[in-house]
Amino acid sequence: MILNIATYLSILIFLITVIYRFMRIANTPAHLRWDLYPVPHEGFKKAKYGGSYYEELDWWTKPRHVSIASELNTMIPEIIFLKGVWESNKGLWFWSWAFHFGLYLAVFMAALVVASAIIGPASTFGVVLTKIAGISTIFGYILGGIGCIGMIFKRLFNERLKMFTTVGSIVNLVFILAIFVTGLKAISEVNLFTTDPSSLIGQLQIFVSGLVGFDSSVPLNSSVIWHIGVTLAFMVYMPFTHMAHFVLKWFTYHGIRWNDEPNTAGSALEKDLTKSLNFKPTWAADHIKGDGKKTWVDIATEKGFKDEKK
Amino acid sequence: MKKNKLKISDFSKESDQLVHIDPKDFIPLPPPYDKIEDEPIWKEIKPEYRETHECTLDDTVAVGIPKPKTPEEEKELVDKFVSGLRKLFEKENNWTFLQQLMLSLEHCAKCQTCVDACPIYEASGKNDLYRPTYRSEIWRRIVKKYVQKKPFSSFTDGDIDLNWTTVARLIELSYRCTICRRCAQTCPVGVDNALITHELRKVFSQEMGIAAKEIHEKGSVLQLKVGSSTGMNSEVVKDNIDFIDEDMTDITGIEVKSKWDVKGADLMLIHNAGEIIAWPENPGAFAIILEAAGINWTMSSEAVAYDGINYGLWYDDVQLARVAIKHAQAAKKLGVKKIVVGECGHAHKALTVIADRVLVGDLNVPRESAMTLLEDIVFSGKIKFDPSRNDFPVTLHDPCNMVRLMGIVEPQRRILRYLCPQFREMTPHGVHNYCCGGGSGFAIMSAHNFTNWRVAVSGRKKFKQILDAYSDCPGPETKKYLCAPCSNCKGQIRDIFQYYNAKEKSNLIYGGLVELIVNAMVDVKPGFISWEDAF
Ligand code: SF4
Ligand code: SF4
Repeated sequence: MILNIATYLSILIFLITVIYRFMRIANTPAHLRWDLYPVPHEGFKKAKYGGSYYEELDWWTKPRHVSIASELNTMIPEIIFLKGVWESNKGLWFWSWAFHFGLYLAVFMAALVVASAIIGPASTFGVVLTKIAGISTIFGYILGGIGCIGMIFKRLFNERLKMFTTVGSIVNLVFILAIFVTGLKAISEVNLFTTDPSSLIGQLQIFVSGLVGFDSSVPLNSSVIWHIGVTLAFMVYMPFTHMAHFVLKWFTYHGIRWNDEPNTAGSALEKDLTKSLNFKPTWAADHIKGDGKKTWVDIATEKGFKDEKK
Repeated sequence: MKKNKLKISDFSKESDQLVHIDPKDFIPLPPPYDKIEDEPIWKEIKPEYRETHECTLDDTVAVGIPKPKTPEEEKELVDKFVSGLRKLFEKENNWTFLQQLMLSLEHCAKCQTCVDACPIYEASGKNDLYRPTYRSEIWRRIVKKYVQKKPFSSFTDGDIDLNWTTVARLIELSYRCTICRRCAQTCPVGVDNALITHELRKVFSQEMGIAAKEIHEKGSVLQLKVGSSTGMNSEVVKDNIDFIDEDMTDITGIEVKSKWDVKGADLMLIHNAGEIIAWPENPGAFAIILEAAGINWTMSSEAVAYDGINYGLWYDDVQLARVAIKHAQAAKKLGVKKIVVGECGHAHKALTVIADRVLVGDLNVPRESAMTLLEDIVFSGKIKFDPSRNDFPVTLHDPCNMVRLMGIVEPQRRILRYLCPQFREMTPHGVHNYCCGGGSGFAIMSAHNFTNWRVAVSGRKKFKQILDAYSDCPGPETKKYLCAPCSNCKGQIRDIFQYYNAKEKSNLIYGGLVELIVNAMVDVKPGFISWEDAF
């Protein structure tokens, strides 16, 4: 009963926090451009060397091409292999990759557990999903655990990193390590590779079915309960930390680095910008003297100059 | 305090100087510049100046703020700093960069993947003070603890003390980064240390009225007051261009007449006015090319609009907007079809990219780079070229603002591949280039011994890269040309070459792209580019 309620609450808190953080960024006003090249949606050819539409004569008269395929070509190796870390921080790459990939596999497993629990673990497809979930779990937990331990060591002892290591950064890693360790402990106590309800995947499937059917009477092994408990605690904690980058990275790339949308007459962007230009700043330096009454337009045009020259 | 022993907490502790810079730590340059004992001696900051100004960061000083006289004055400045930081997170005050800043505040994984990308950090011999993340981390901790007042932030995000020492050092440290964004390019999360430098400078300027004199008082303020940061008013600029036209006519044998205030022209060209004073052959060469191609062009003699500089880009959104609006208003007044930005990287980015979201309505006059226009002209067949006139080793410097930050990479290369038989690339190049070390205003900042720092430290990696590009012909017997299509980069490169005596030792000169184009024009008297006259 308690575990079920805790799960509903954790999922709720997780979703609310992640959505809140996402919306908080999404609701910031249209900003000035801050693009950084290569911008992959410029297409394969240009993305290869970092070119932009500014390389075209009279670029504003030409149609704008946005290549999703080229974007995916950049995003997939980055997400799966952490290509950027490989290129610029080889010493950290393996640990970071193992850590991230372990987490991906764990999330993948969770998705398979939910799917198989819903369609029925005993169905032909359910059995396949269960097997894949089992493989994903063992690889994910071992890889993720190794990655976590490596990262903790790096953060504590590596010259390059330790200056920036805070209690918070170690707590984050220990928390995730606890998920993998409790998971592995559960695997050692209950079977993994069977579709039997007493295996870890089977127990998780029963648990998910119970959640879906509002049935809290399902019997769970204590090591599985621990594993679920730690995972739930992490779900509540994580969105409050920098680890929310798993979703907010969308903005750092699509909203900023790759945001090369030109401002065109009559566009929605222009309307948003016009609103922002009417904000009333309070910057206090003498050359601005923002008093909360003058708008950005006033300050940036003649009126502002004259006030400044006084 | 020794390098690599630096802690974040040291930053707030009072001491004579946080770090010392030792040339022995610098990355070596190739021969004949490899002897550390031949490195020029750094000018000392005068003790009297140290007495009265804040110089406690490293061995140089960029801003040089007068020391507060009383603890009350110190407190007032610290409070102002906090109030400015708060404003950075208010949409009314910082809609311009709010989204970017919030993300960079909250999502750094502290993985240090970005640090090796920084030419300043690398060239200094990995001095921790110059790590891209050091400055950002201090800022982040201050924001969490003193602005957001986040509970337990000392544990979760790390502790920091905020006092006048911290603020005074941060002011200086915000001028030890060229905002080249090379580090940002490598960040897997998309966090941007350069943006943090930029926003810190904004707090100092927009809230506290503190900025490097050269970019504010003698830069954007002067430009808005008299028309140009060079101090030239409209009449002087026209006179100077007349002289340049006469000179060009003599040198090239082609009648040159620059155009002013032509209503309805196809394009309005904006130069960095520094070219007119320091490199007159550049605006001269532009005029020769545009005339030879039969283009209906003009320049504006309207105050501010004859100077493409927009230093606000590096430190102050208000100044940026004021200058950009002046540029657009001049174009609108003339009714030109487009504005073309000459060989100036930051002017490119300020007017074309950043101001794109300031210029709304009829101020949104189309704007483009001179690189694409020149490419179109060179390959149009309107002008006859003899590439053998450029048969000397040429390499290309990629101005960060034009290349990494705008994606204008190939047009200038296509011209060089066609007109310069010995063109060679630097490693790395294009969007992965190294900054010249003069970015974000450094090229025009020379007070006290700042030139020593910006040449020997922030420009070191670039100089090494340039020399490496000529490793097959390093000696003075081979004439070599570095093409840098950007006024600020040229200013920095001029200082690097003078500092290390590169003309004598390597017969290395620098200049723009248009000079190479004119040098190869069949109708022009040979020898437009001259090693003898170069300095
Ligand atoms: S800025 Fe990016 S690369 Fe640098 S430490 Fe932070 S997350 Fe890592
Ligand atoms: S922006 Fe450039 S100079 Fe500044 S920290 Fe990053 S790499 Fe270094």
